[in-house]
Amino acid sequence: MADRPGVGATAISAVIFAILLLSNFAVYVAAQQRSVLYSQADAEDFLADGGAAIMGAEAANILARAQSFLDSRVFYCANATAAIGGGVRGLTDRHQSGGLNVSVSAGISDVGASADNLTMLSPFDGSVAGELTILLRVTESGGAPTSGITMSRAETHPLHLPVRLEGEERACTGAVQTLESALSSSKVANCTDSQVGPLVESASLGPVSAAAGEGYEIRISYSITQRAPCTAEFEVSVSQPDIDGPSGTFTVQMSDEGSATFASPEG
Amino acid sequence: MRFLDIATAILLGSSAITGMAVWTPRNADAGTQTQLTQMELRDALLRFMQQPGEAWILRSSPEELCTQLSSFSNTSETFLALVNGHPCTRPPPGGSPVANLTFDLFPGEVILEAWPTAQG
Repeated sequence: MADRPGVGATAISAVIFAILLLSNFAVYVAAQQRSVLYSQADAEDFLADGGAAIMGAEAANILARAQSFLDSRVFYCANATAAIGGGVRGLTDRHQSGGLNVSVSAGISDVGASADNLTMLSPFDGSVAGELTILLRVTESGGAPTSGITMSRAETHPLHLPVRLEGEERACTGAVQTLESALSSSKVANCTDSQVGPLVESASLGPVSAAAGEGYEIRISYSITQRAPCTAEFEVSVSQPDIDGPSGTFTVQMSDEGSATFASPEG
Repeated sequence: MRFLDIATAILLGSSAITGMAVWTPRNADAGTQTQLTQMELRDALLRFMQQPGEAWILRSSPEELCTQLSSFSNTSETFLALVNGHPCTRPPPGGSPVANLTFDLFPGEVILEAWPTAQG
């Protein structure tokens, strides 16, 4: 050994290198494990953010389609809520991309005022008392194959459109009843527009004023359908104009008809 | 014998250094950093969607969306939108976006993309 003085140094350096190597390997394994965890976190983030983005967009699409449905027709006052409910219930949508499946379906609800966490739909998130509430049912599923992370969840979100449906229905049916009552107790000598017109106009003042106070517009038209006894049919059209919806302003219109037989002066 | 000792020492040293080079945590760290950046950018894109809101995005034209999105870009993140496949502006150099969110918003497909500015 006296001839080989480097053996001791080599042995010591072998031990040091082995310690360095083992330490490095431990750090390497930890880094690999951290990488796997980050990969899983990334997959979860992808599913959560991707799902939230698609769900928000699908919800906005449903609201826009509900707005289009409400704007495109005139509802009969007596069953406007049922007709609108039927139309909204038919709204469904589905999105599939990047390993994510999101399907949404809508219905109307009377949950009252409640907050919701779908804030990207602001100001239409949650429900507001007196306004049209659309209940959105969402199912999301998806997976990130490389990490083995999968997601499956079902959620319900109340959304609303600022349509005061019940108020508009009340204004409409109330106007019809008021007109029928007021005109039936009015007397006309001659069943002509010159006599009937002012009576209809006078009877309309109350309902028009009351509706205007609540933000509705009322148009009332009439026609004389029979001269003896003098009978007039009238149509009441109520609208809630300039409603601020997700895809611009829109109007919800309702109408109803009524008739009144005037009393004769002799009667 | 001296030659054998020197050879053994060299073999030991080079094996250890090679082992350290092969099992370097740098590659795993680089992958982790990419995933972290992806998550941050994706979260930033979702924050963008929440800030003006879906209703605003639904109403806005592709140009308005792009303007809003570019104002959301900052020194460390660059954002871009593709509406029905048409990009607002030229994408930053550096290849594919690091993160994106894709959704259908009537009447078409919207893709929001994000790059870390350092890469672009």
